[in-house]
Amino acid sequence: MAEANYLKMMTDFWETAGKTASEAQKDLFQQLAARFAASFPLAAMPVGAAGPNNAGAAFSELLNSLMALPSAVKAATDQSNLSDKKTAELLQKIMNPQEWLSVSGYTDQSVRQLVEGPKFADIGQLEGKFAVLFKAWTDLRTRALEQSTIQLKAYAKAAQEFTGTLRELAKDKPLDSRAQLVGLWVDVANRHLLEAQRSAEYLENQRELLRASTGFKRAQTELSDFYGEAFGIPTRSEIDDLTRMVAELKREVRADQRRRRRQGNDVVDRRTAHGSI
Amino acid sequence: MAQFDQTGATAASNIVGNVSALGRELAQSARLIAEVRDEEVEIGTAPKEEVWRCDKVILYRYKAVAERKLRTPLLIVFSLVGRYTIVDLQEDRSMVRNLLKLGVDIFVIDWGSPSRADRYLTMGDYINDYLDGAIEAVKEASGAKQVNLLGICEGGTFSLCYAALHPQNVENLILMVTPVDFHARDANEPLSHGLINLWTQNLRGEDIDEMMDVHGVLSGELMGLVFTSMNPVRNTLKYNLDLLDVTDDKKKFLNFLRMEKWIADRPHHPGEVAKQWVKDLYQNNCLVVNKLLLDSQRVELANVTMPVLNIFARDDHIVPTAMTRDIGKYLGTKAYAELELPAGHMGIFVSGKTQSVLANSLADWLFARQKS
Repeated sequence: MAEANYLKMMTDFWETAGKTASEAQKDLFQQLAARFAASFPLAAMPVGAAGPNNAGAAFSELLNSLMALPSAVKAATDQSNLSDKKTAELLQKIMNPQEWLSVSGYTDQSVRQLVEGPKFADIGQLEGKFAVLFKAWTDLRTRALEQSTIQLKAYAKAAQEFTGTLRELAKDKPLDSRAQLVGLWVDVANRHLLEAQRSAEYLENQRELLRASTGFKRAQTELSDFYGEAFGIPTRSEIDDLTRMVAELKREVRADQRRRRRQGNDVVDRRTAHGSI
Repeated sequence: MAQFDQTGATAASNIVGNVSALGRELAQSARLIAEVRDEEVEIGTAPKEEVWRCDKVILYRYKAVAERKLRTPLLIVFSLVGRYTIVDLQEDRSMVRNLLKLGVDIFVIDWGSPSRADRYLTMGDYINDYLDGAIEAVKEASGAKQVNLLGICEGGTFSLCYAALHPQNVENLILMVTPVDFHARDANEPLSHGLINLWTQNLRGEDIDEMMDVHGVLSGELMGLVFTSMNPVRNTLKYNLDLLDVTDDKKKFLNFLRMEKWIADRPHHPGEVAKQWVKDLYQNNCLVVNKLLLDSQRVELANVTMPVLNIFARDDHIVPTAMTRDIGKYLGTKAYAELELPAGHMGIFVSGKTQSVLANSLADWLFARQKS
């Protein structure tokens, strides 16, 4: 691979996670509302401040307002006489809110991994269970988006402080290395993220996100168990019952082995104590 | 809302002008990634043989590289959160190899990879069955009547419980980066310290029960996310930027990859163990108040009467020193010693600074207590 391609690969690698996460989240709630309205007009749609439309609107508003950031960096780097455009690109990416979302995208991905299972298209027409499942999914996406918004706010504060610090440093003691630049960003952004992750708002969201992910998985399991019973396939709860029985049996076997081993040791010890018998 | 300032961007662009070597480093990093072979990033390679197994648990004995001078064998018990291979990450960063050279006979437990099928395993099963079975196997293989027990992190907590319940089998107890007092906090601790305590104590008990009932395990991926979130920006950038710092040195580059390989391999916690770990320990701090029940047996720390060496890391953000320092007051032993090392939670095993001091201090302490 030519050197230029290596460079492109690394910068693309950096970019992909953030872009994927943010684009997916921007589209999510529009699609959700449309699908929900078309399929289940009577199903329970979450309402109020925690609903997906509000969460999505707050998220979009914040994200859009921050999108001026990379273009401002680009304008500044374009004005300078940089020979290494790839390096300039990398700095623009550091200051790109879409890249920051790779962190919340990671959260999103982990939540998705927790709830992997049958896809909606496979579930069928059991409207009651389907509606419960869909509401659980909506709750989960809402909570995940709320968490992304909390993190994005923290990044916004960090970006503000970072650029302010750079401005001050430029006057008196300019940074002269990439390590110093990155170190400054990491210190500032880490502090804001950690403060956010200790906040009451974050902790409340964390509890609700966990409950929502569990609720979704529960709804999914109940639906798949319904089909399992209908088609004679072992259900999750039946497998769990068997697992419990096997665990208890193995516990008894291990206890028995332990008893026999100790009885054997006792015999050996008696022989040692009293000579051969 | 953040108002972006053009002056700051201009300052940043000036720095960019001074780092034009970055492009070359990126290319070098990509080239090294393409060249590296699987065998170059193998971890836990010190020769060893299997001596016992029960279900998914395997006991290994490391092959001696020097005359065995310590009569009582050392059994290493790692956490369920990661793999024991961190104690032998690579040849020049290996507590195991350093101890073998000093004449210590070493065994290690591999907990395997618990799945949903293991969801009903409890801490009692791990401590009273698997750990006890492994200790009996060590005694049988070595001919010793007791073992020196070395527990790391959660494995240290398991070892402490075992020593309290079966003190007759433990000659000396060594705890490393082990959480004991789950509610102890240092008022001046950094922002990144104690987050697991904060987050676990934030959860409702019934939500934890429901989560384990639904998922069956505490997933390794979720624990990985928790650890990443404790240093969020640093961890997000490391694959893009930290990597660049090691591109001029293949040895450092391979060290980086081996550590990442270890980090990426996170086993699940069986559901019942996770419930006890989070609720009984992180939330209710049962161990230090002698209220922890394992198989209906109360864990009384006053029964820990053998000599105890407690080793902890000054910069540990996962088990802050407050959780482990000064725990001698809870124990029945009069021979309690502490060793604080300048490293982080796992850095204690892989840091160049701690390599010799860790193994030498540990061996000195054990040899000093060797019964004649």
